[in-house]
Amino acid sequence: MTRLTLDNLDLHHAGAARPALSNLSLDVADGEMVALLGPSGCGKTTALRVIAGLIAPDAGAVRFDGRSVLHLPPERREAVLVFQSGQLFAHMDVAANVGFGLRMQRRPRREIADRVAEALAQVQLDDLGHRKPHELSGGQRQRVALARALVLKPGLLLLDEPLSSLDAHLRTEMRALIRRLQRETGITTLVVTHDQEEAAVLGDRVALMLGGRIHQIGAGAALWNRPADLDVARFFGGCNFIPGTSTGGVFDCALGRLALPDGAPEGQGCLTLRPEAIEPGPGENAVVMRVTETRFEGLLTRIGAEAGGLRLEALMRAGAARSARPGAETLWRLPREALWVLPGV
Amino acid sequence: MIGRGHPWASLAPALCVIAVLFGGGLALGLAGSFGAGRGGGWSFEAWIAVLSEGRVWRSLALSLWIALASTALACGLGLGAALLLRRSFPGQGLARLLFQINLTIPHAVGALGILWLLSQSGFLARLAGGAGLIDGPARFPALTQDHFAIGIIAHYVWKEVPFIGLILLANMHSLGDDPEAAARSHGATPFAAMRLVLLPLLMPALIRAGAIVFAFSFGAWEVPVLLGQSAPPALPVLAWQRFTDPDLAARPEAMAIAMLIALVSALLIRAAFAGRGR
Repeated sequence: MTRLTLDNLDLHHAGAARPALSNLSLDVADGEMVALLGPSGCGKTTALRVIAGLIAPDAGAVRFDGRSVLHLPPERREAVLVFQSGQLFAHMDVAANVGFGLRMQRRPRREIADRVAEALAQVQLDDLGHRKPHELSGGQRQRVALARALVLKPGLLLLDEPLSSLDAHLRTEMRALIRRLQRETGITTLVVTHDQEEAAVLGDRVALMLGGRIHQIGAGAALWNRPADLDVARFFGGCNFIPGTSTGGVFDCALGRLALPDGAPEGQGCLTLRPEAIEPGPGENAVVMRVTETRFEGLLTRIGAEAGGLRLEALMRAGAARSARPGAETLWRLPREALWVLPGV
Repeated sequence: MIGRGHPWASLAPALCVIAVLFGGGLALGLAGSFGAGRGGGWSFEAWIAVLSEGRVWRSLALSLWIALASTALACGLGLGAALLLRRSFPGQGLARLLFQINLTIPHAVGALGILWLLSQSGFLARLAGGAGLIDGPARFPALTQDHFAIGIIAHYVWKEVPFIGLILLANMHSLGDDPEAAARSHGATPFAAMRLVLLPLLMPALIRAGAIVFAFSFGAWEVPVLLGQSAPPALPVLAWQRFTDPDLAARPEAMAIAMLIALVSALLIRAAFAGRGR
């Protein structure tokens, strides 16, 4: 399989106000599956197309196993791109679609037939080889697109929002299938998604892309709980930001002196913690808050509260949230292990 | 039951107009070809006369040649132009404007232009004569009123290439670059991606546009009248001549020829669509 390296990629589309890619660097290890996560328009699909050779960057390098591939056309790169919409060829049946790449490689007919059958079995569509794309469901079309890529045994598999057009049930099913096939084949995979949950489930690591560059890369939980900067924290739904100073494991701020976890950076910064980490009741780092609003959000209730001129939000289960009424004072505990300091902010 | 919101209810006014103008005209023409309205009752006389007349068959062959050659050339050149014009290049907007500008020129005006350009007393003949390439304008090859209907075909190609090209450009625009990009990513060269993916996806639009060009060039009479030879004339010209004949007895034959044009056109277009289906 292939190790992918992106070095300082820059790309500015003509007429666009902002660059599509800005100093984008990323390293995907051989056999690893990385989820490239980001909001719409952040440049993640453009990045995939640059890697696939469909768009040339203005600057930077794309390397497969350390060798630059920028001079190679798409058909000579060992990377296959699976499009968001599947892009099955409407005039070909499923078997011809899956065998397309092998036909381009001028493989013998017998071999093509065998490998197509094998690939269709991998995606559990054994009996649908004769069907035309318009006779398939959305989930089946995506599986055919996946089989069409896997049959080539590429060094690098690029998946562009492969689940975005599927309903919730099919998404879960397809997610498991992609994960299983990637583990079985060991193909280095870069999957683009705007869905945080999908990124966390699919990726060995998650790379968060904002404004054309990677802001943070790591395990899903790390990005969620230990954001590298305010933008990352906000992308993951962070809403509690407390300015202050960190000294000797204590954070001095408008809420008082809060005990920090070991290894917290020193100096001026911004303390953040996820709304669902806040607990009701007394204990270490407990602060008195005045409730300003409550909002039902299904399983959890969002509670807004103020203290010392700061506004915090907490997400609590219905039982814990019952006593929180606008105007009432309440005691919130900010668990030490959930606190995270963004230095210099 | 068809309610107010049903598509058929919305389409009904347009369908009624088509049924009355097109269907009604066709029915009247068919009835006329059997002598209806001439007081002598129904008969196959006009059809027998038309189908047993050698001149009709020669006219049919000429019209088929004109329509098939015009359609094939317009499709080929329109496709080529669309493939070139879809790419981004400096001045692309101006090139597209120039490409479609002759769509606005009426056929009769275009035919007169071809006459001025290609006839033996036309611009090219005088130019060639003046340059000493030929002994005199009269030695210029006959490109209008000629046996192979070159002037007529040139006119139809000149007029229909932008039509085909614009339909294909619109189709390419709606397809986007992704089908070809998917093919390239799966190992196809640019030429293979175009041949195996883009062209088959464009084929339904090309056949539809080609069918329109064929039907028009097979059934129109004003361009063959201006640019065509008189013996044999194109089939629509023959129908027109019979229809305007002072002898009213020729009218059923005119109708029979018109019905023949409609029938051959419909059968060939149907065959083209059936061939695509297979």
